[in-house]
Amino acid sequence: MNCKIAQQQMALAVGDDLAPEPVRQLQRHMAKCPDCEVLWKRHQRTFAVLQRSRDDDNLSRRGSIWPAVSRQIEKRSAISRLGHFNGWFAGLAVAAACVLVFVFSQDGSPANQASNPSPGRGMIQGNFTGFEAPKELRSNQPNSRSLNPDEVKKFRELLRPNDY
Amino acid sequence: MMTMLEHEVHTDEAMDEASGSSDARLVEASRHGDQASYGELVRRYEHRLIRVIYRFVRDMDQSEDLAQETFLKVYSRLDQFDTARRFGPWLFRIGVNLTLDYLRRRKRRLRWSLFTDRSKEKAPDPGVPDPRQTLDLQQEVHAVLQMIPEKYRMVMILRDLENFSSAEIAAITQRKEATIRWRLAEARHRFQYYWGKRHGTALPANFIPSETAEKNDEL
Repeated sequence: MNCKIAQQQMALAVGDDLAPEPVRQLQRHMAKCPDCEVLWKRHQRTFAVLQRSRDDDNLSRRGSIWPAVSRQIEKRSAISRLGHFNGWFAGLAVAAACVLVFVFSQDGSPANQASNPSPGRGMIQGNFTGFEAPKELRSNQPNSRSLNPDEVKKFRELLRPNDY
Repeated sequence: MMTMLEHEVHTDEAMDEASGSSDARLVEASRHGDQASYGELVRRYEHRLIRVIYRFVRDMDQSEDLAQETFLKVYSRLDQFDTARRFGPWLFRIGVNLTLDYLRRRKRRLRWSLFTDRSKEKAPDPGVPDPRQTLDLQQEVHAVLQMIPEKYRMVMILRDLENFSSAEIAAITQRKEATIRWRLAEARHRFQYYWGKRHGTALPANFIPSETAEKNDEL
């Protein structure tokens, strides 16, 4: 055993963390190495200081922390339950909104279809006669014509503001 | 002579061994919403957990807060616990990790406040005695422990101040036992070195400073 290994081993031996055989080897080394023996004594002193500093008496037992822990657990589980409830509530609200939209859309259609046919279908099929423009004003119709200059003049006069 | 703490630790261990299955049963019951069972687990471990945390933070109120936080975290993770394993090391692992996180945050805050409050710093008044001189043994030991890197310090605190065995520390830290023994030796070596340095004790001529610590760290 050399000094380096001995110093490593003595750090364990000082707290009884070394097996008996390495301890014997360490003792044999220290018997012939005074410097390592000095170091061993210093290890013993500092270890004793460490043990003295434990101050176990001052670590007096206070009351149990369980009541506080229990309260916290209750609080957290209440928040968690509220979170679950909120999740269900949001889901239900969305579902209800969907149902309402569906019901209203279904509710309006049959009445409209019965009393008032849909404008698109009526116009395409020519059944709707409500607010149709005069034939002359529908420029995209085959029988439409452009205005002659006299008609334009007359139209402009009509548009001119009245003279008071 | 067995100190009060040693006696208590041995009692705890005996109780733990005797009630190993009981812990698992309590965990199982707690998982099914039986709060009384969880209360039993808390009462079984709270004092030792608070004491372990106190070794790191040295503030009893803060230790109790961190212990409460630990038990809450453990409760929320009970589903993840493997009942084939021991409950104690799992609990202490969570507790120690929370404590180390807290200490890191505190250190960062302290650094930041030192940086931002630099203008407010005052030179020490020579008329007022240096408060460091009034440090008692525990504070002095704590100050030396703070010089040791966290991974070594943690092992040393658990072993030398809280009497956990190497195997238990290995279970808490999820490292191999050989790594724990290495770190323990390294921690004691460094503690001895810094303690001697602080008290002006000359090192022996053949003292070999640890150089291979980092290399052998992840055994």
